[in-house]
Amino acid sequence: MSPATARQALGPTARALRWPPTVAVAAAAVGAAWLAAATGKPSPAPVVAGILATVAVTALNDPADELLAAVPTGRLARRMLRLVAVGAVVLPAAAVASAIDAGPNAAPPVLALTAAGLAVATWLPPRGAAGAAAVPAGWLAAAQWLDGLPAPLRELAVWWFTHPWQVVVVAAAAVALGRSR
Amino acid sequence: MTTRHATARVTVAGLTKRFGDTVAVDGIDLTLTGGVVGLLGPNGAGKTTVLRMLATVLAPDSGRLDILGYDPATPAERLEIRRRLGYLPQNPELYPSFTAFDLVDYVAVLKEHADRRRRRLECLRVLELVGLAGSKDTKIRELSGGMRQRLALAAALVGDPDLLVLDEPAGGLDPEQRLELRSMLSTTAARGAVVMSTHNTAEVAALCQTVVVMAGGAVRFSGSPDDLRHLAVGRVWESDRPAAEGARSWLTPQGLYRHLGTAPADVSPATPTLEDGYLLAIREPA
Repeated sequence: MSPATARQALGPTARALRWPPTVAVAAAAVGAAWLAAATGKPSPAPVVAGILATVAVTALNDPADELLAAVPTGRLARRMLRLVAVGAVVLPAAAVASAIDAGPNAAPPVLALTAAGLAVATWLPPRGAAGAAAVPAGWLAAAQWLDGLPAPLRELAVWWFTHPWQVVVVAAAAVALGRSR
Repeated sequence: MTTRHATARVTVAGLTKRFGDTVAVDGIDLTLTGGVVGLLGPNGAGKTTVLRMLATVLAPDSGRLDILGYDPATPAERLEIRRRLGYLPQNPELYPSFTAFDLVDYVAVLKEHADRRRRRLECLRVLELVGLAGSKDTKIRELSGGMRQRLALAAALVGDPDLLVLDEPAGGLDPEQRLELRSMLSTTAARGAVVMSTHNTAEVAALCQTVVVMAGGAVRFSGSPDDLRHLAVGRVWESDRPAAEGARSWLTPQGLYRHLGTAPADVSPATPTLEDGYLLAIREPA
């Protein structure tokens, strides 16, 4: 995809997204951070990151995917455009939530979980993109509720939060390997 | 990279596609030159799978494809095919909040039409072609089913492609719109190639230079509509009662039973139609 195509396609791609769920979830994430700060509860940064990434990966599901399947701008490029558009809401929401509750920065874990979702979507059949949203949600659940895991598995369950950039790199490699599928 | 052929054409050799245990397309061979090619067959015959492979949307499990002189298995050549291809899937979903113009313009952007002024003219051209110029500012959610189908067709027509791959393009269109579709596709086919699936033998008779009949993932017939009709010569007859030996029979509006199959010695064969040929072709291998 040329820069000119990317520039011109970003606006209509953003308009093609279903924004109400994204905006509602982003607002809820910020609200949760505010509530935690106001009541002196621990930072909800991991949960905020998990739900924002889930809504971002959900945006990969393009209802017109079949109509656009044979255009020169490939599926991966179109998905990246969708993520850039949705990122304009979820990343600021993550940053605002982190600023409110003075907890760890939720933006890198959002990127890590979103990249993992994109990687799985790349390897799934096109119609399985919606299922990729289970990746951030599932990984978040594993980190939150699988306390009794053996050490290596426990580290894997929280890897997206403790080492988000490593996850981004691995996911990017998986996307690169799967892009010609 | 291979050199592009002078005329639009598609060559298919041993093309196979499986979905789990189901063989959707079973080692078919085809050579399609220009003009309109109609893919006929019952539901589940493999037509959509073949069209999706021709549109580079689905990779075959085995076999060779040559589309417009390019091999879609190679990413760079697949891109070249897509630059020359228009694809209309079956019952495509669109963006309800877009206007008709928005959708075609978006597709044009994704088809690398970077010049805004030219792109606008191209969008207006294709909307005019499908009879939607007057509805260009109407939201898709407000369009009828037939209008949405024509809009999706307009999206496929952006860039005046050398090869149009259309999965049941006449679905949801009324008779007048079907007539307009025929006119438009015959014009397009004059300079390229159109491959379309249909259930409608009248559509094939009116429009197609070549007809391919598929059943059970295999090609049962490939040739001209006249050749397909010829398959039924001497194998269709009418009588005043159903025939036990007939391959198929039905009561016509004239009150006679029309039979397909090997005619008994004492009856005179009727004039066969394209539909007779089609019904025989899907019943038995050519």
